[in-house]
Amino acid sequence: MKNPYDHLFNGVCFVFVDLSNFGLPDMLPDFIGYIFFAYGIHLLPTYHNLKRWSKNFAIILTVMSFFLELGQWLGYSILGEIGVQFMQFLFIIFMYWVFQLLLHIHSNKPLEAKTFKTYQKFMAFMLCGFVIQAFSINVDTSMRENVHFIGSLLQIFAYFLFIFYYRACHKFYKEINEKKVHSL
Amino acid sequence: MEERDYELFEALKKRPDKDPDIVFSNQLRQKLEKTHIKKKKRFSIATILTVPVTIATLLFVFNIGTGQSFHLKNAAQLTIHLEKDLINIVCMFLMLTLSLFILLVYYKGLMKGRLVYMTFSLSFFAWVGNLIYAEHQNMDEPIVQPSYNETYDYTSKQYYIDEIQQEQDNYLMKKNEGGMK
Repeated sequence: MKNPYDHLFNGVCFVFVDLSNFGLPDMLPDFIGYIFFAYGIHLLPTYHNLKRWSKNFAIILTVMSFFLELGQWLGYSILGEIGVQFMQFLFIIFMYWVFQLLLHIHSNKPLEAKTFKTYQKFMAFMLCGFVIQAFSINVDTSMRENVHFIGSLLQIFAYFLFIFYYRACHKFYKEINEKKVHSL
Repeated sequence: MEERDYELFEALKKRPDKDPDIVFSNQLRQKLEKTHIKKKKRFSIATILTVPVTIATLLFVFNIGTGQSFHLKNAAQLTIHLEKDLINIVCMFLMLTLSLFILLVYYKGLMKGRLVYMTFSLSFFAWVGNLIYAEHQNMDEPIVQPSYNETYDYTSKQYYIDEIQQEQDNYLMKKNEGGMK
């Protein structure tokens, strides 16, 4: 059986890592990340409605980010930075649903506290980063880049938090599988 | 209720002995419940909302009753040079308050309920408001720099360039002809 957390982690990596800031073509496009998300959520062991909703949300985001990415590749962006920021906001809401789903799966299990703490910090950092980046449009020209950078830094923190959480999940999943093998 | 359970769980984990102690957990639960009730009484939304609303109504009544306006002309003249700085400060202030509100909500663990949706909607409105403000301001440099500018008249410029080139050619032709002669 495949590890769903691997796919979720791949999704986060694809969505976060954006090489277009360094003047390179985006090698890790966002829509592939959302496809990973959809597959990872599909593998999660639950029958809750949240699973269906978040999977559908991931598919919708795949389509939207595909068109956004296509616009970037073709060299004309209809909304420019606005589209990217809107996708970022949708991603935050999507992560809220994903964490709700993970909390539901891990309820009364050893990883519950860890999931809750990661959820707390991840959402706070992501939203604060988004707000700071939103306000950076109207900040003075000399300061704009710096303010934008602070927002990005907060989001990178959130990314690292998710990496640590993924490592814990990975161990937990391995232990469960080993136990299953031993019991057999 | 769930938050309290979580706190209880945390407190129980820190306990030196792991055996179940019903009296201890009951005491802890009672303590937590008491603090929860106190907090609820101290920071209810009604009290937070009533104070500014009363002040606003009193100011409005005062304004209408005395016929005085709140236009502070001298102050406005003083601040008119600092308008841009003020806008920046207000922007920063709003940004900080919003970020602090978000941090508070998530730090306190008030996850289930309206507060989380409020953080989402507030940050979304902040973003939309900033976009509208930037659009309204007509910034010197646009955020999106278009590769093709509609206001730039390419055809007429090309026409001028052609005309100049033709004149130059004619001049050269004449000169050449002159030289030939």
